[in-house]
Amino acid sequence: MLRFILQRLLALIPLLLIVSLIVFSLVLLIPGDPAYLLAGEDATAEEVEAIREDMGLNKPVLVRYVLWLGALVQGDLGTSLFSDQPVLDVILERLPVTLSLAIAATLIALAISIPAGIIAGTHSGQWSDRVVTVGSSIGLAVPNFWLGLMLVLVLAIQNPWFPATGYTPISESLVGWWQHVLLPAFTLGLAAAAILTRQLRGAMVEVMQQDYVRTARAKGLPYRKVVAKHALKNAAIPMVTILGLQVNSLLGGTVIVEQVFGMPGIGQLAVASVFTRDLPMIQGVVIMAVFVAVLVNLLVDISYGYFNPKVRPR
Amino acid sequence: MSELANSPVPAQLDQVADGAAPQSGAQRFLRRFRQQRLSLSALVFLVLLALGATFAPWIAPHDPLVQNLDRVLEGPSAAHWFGTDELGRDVLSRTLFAARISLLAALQAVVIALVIGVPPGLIAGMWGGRVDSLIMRATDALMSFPPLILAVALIAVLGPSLTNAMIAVGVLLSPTFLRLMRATTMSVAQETYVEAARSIGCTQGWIIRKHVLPNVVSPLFVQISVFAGVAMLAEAGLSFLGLGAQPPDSSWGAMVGRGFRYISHAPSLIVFPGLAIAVTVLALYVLGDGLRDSLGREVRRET
Repeated sequence: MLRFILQRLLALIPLLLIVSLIVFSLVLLIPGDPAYLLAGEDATAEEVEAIREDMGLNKPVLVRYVLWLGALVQGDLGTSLFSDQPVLDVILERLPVTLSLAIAATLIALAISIPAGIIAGTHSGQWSDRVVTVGSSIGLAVPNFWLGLMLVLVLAIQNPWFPATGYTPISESLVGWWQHVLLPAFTLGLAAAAILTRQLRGAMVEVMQQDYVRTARAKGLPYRKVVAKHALKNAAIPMVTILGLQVNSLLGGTVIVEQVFGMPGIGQLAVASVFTRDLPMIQGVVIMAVFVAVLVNLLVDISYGYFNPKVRPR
Repeated sequence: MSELANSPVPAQLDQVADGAAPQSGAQRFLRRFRQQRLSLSALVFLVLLALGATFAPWIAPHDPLVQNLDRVLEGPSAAHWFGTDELGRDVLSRTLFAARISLLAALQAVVIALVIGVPPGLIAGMWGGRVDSLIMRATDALMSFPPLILAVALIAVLGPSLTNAMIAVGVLLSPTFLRLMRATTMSVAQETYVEAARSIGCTQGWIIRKHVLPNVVSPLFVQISVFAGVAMLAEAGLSFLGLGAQPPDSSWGAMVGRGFRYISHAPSLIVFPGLAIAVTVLALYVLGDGLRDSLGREVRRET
C-alpha cells in the first residue's frame, strides 16, 4: 500500500511541472508588452519600468521560469499588483470559503444522486426511471448562474427564508454557515448530482443483472438487503472515480456561484482580478485550484486502491 | 459508398442482427434516428431556433436597440411578451437577437476545440510510442485544471471579449476530442484490414483518409452535439460574469448578467434568456443521445 501511494506521488511530479509551465506561460500570451498592460492605461514610464523590474520581465524567459518555479516551490506566489499583499496570504484567507462551498456541494450531490440512482437503477424502464433520467438531463442543461438567481428570487427575495448574499464562517456560527451555504451549494452541486445519478443508475442496472444478485435473491434474501449489500456496494466503486473527476468542475463552478451569491472565495477573487489586471493573483488562484484538485484526485486514487485491491500494483 | 460502410463490424452481420433488408449505413442511421421522437423534436427545435436567429430582423416584433424610457422594467404584456429591460427595450426581440450570438459562439468554441484536439489525437493514435505519451502527458496536465478557472485566467491575459472567451472554452474542450480521436484511431489501426493495407504498401495518409477518418466521423458527431451544449453553457457563464460578450453585443448569458441588478424589480429580464439557454442546451444533449443511439453499435460502445 505504501509503495502504491509513493508511486502515485512520484507520478504527480511531471504533471505538476507541466501545469506550472502552462501557468507561467500565461504571461507570455499577453499581446504586446506585458509591463505596459499590467501597469494600466495612464501609468508613467517609471511605473512601467517598476513593474518590469518587479516581475523580472527584463530577464530571459527561461531564467524567469526557473526563478518563478523556485519561489513557487517555497510557497512564494508573488505579490498582488492590485493590493501589494502577498498572493498566498490573500488566497489562503479566501480558500476556506471556496472549499466549504465545494464540500457542501459534494454532500448535496451525493444526497441527491444516491437515492435517485438506486431508484432508477432498480426500476429500469419504469416511470420512476424515466423521471430520474429526464430530471438528470435537465439538471445538466440548466445554467448554474441562472438556477442560483432563480433560487435567490424565490427563496430569498419573494420569501425571505435564506440570505441572498454573503458568507458566515463555520467557526462563527454553524447555523449561519449552513444558511449561507445551502443555496449556493445546491446550485453548484446540481450538475454533479446529475452526472453521479446517471453513473450510479447505469452501474446499478448492470449489477442487478449479475448472477450473484440472482443467487442472493434465490436464496431468499430480502430485496432491500440484496440492493444495499450486494448491488450498491459494487455499483458504488466506479462512482468514487466519477466523484474525483467532478472535483475539477465543482472548483471551476465556484467562479460563477460565488459571484451570484456574493461569497468572498477564490472564484470571486479570480474574476475580480481579471478586471484589475492582477496577473500574479490569477496565476496564484489557478495554481492553488489545480493543487487542491490534484490532491483530492490523489486521495480518490488511494482510497480506490484501498477499497479495490485489484488496481494496486504488485 | 457511404462513410459508415467502413465500420469495424462487418456490414452483413449488423444487418442480420437488425432483421432488416440490406441497407447502407446512412439508410440504417436515418431509419433508427426517425424512431427517436424526442431527438427528432430536439432537432426540429434547433433548426427553428437557427432560422429564428437568422431571420431575427424580420421576425422580431421590435427593434432590439430602440429605447422607450416611459416603459422600463415592465413584466410580460401583450405588447411586450417577455417584458422590457432597464432601458425599455423589448426583451423578446433582444432574446431573439441574442440567439445569434449564443449559437455562433458555441459553434466557434466547438470548431476551435476540433482544430486543437483532432490533429494531435490522430497523430497520437497513429504513431503511438513516445509522441503519444508526450501528447497524453500534456493532455492530462490540461485536464487537471478546473475548467472555468483556466478559462478566466486565459481571458485575463487575452482580454475580455467573446472571441477570447470562446478560444478559452475551445482549449478546455479540446482534450476530450483529442482522447476520442486517439482511442478510435488506435482501435482502427489494429484492425486486420489496416494491417493488410499497410502490407501492400499503402501510405499513412491513404490509410488515414480511407480507413481512420470514416470511422471517426460518427463518434465525433455525437461529441460535437453534446459539446455545443457544454460550450453554450460555458459562454453563458462567462458572459454572465462580464468576461464574454461585450456591449452592445448581447448573448443570453450577458442578458442574465445585466438583469441580475434588477432581479427584484423585473424577474422576467432573467427568466426568459435563462430558459432559452436551458432549453437549447437540453435540445443539444437530447440530439446527442439520439445520434449515439442511432449510429452503429460500435459507436455506441465508444462514446
